[in-house]
Amino acid sequence: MKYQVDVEGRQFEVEIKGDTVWVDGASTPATILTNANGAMVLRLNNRTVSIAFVPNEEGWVASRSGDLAHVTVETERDRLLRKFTAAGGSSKASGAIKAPMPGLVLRMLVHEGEKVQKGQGLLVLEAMKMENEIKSPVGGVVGPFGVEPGQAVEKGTLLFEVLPEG
Amino acid sequence: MALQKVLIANRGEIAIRIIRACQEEGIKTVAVYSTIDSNAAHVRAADEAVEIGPPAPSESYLVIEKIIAAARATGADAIHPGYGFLAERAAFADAVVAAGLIFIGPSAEAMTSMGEKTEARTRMKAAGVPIVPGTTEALPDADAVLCAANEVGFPIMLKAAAGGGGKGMRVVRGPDELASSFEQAASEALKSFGDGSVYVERFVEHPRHVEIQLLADTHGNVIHLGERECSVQRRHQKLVEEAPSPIVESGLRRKMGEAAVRAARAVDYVGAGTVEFLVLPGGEFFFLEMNTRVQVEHPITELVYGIDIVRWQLRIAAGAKLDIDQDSIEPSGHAIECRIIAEDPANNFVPSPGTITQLKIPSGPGVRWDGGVEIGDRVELFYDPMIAKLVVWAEDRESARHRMLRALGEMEIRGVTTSQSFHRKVMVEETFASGDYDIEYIATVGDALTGNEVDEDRAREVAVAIALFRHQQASGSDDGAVTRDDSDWVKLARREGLR
Repeated sequence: MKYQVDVEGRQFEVEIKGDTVWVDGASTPATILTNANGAMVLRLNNRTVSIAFVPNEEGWVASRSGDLAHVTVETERDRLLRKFTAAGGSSKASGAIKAPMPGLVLRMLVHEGEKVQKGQGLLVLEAMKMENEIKSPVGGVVGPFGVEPGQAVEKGTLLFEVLPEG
Repeated sequence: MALQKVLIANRGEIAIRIIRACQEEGIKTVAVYSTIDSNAAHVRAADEAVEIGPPAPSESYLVIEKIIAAARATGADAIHPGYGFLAERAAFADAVVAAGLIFIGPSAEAMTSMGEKTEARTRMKAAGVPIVPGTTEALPDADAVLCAANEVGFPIMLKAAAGGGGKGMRVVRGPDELASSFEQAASEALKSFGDGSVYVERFVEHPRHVEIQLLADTHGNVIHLGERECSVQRRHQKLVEEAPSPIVESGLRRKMGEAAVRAARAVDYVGAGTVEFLVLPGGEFFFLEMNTRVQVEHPITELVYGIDIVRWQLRIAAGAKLDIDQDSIEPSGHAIECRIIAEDPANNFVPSPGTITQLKIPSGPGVRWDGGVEIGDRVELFYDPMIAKLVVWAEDRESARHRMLRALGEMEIRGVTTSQSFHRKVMVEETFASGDYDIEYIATVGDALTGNEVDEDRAREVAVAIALFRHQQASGSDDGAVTRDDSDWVKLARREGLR
């Protein structure tokens, strides 16, 4: 089986056949020693590596001694399926901005309809006595607000959407 | 009179630190807790515990009457405030004493003198402690500020007379910005402290933040335990501290130490305290403020001086004489502390509350862990997000830096995102490694310390791991969730059973 993997923007093709693993065509000794719901210990070449995977919306977050990496993995079948649903054309990918933690909405830094850049500050959320700027994950146009200043929000509350350009 | 039972008016790591000191001194301990903390680590560590109200600090850890009632109910004879919460509230110290209990800290008068910034500056100036050039009284209007500003020279800093922590603070680069900055600073000061007075200081550019640890007893003895370098800060929040400071040699240490001792004597200070200074590259230093409590970063001083500051707080409160001769002590080796906080450095340090599902505590030579949580505990949004202080000691700075890097590599915390990766990057970052940094450090080096970038080799390992994980799931094995270890244990158990 072939897997297309993206690790923080780096792409790898990993093929697994029986007990053998190829990475981008080069065979690599690799075995799982333990796997408790994504908390894995692996033997890779002669290295013993601990990695924990926690699912998120896009894929997985890999943690190695506190170093985090965003990871996606898909098979040929996944990709076809994704293409198919995308071609079905129902939903365009959007930049849904959700509260990353529970907190209090302090103020908006943009207004509805404004064009924003990727990484631009959108809104200030107060949590743990700190002001936290929520940044746009995509470039685009700011959609209607789902919250207002002074409102307390739970983690995961939809704050508003940024509709990607194009 | 030795203390019998101490109530700790705090939570988290500092409550546990104080409980440990009490246990070593043979003193019984009482914890207090909000409803959300009923099974918190500090509650489990104490001999007794008393509930003091709902999670919001303003309804529990900050309510003086509830804490005093808890002390009365348990028969405690003294209260240790820790840091934060009520630690620097003169009204709390007063109330504790009025209730016939011992407050483990300085007098309410000493706290008030140091808490009010313009009064502190006046007192320090009189005591011969160098202060940042500027006014020692609050200024009534923008004209008076302009007058003072012209005297000290631009750029200047407007500061709230009533408090610190960055509130009511404005840098003013020239006369044209002055009027609006004055308005803003005054209104922010009024909002934060209920007092809109501001004063003027020269704005010191690129200083280092260096503080002197003090111990003072009730018999008039005051000693200093050298300095801590605290310049690795983000929004006035210290993240890494070290002792000694890379720029302080024994001559400067003696000068700063003596100034700090004069500062303490000027307010009849008793207990452990810290005088913060701004230090310029040439070694010129200015009094910034005095923290009238135990500091978060006290362990690095304990490690280089071999003196237990918290146990001394307890002994001093019981009337013991400080029998340490200033001339007989000097720092040995080097210590570094990393504050492990539940915040995501790659996402602008947003808080990451949650349940700790995995906690591997670093250990081995020269490693100290002052922790506040254990596996299964929650990091709550209501409180300080610090999980633990990871502290190392080694014979010199380079060894300490490498030891910290090693310890950070051993540490594994799951369930919340922590500052671990940030700390590891700081330890290998060349400006920090050289020791030549100031309080602009994080603002200057910034992005290099906070990203999620992964090098090619590590990324490849992650890729193999996730593919194997997916493959294992997909092969739909009935034992998909069962680890090979588990099944080996099962086999072993079966074999043992057959014997």
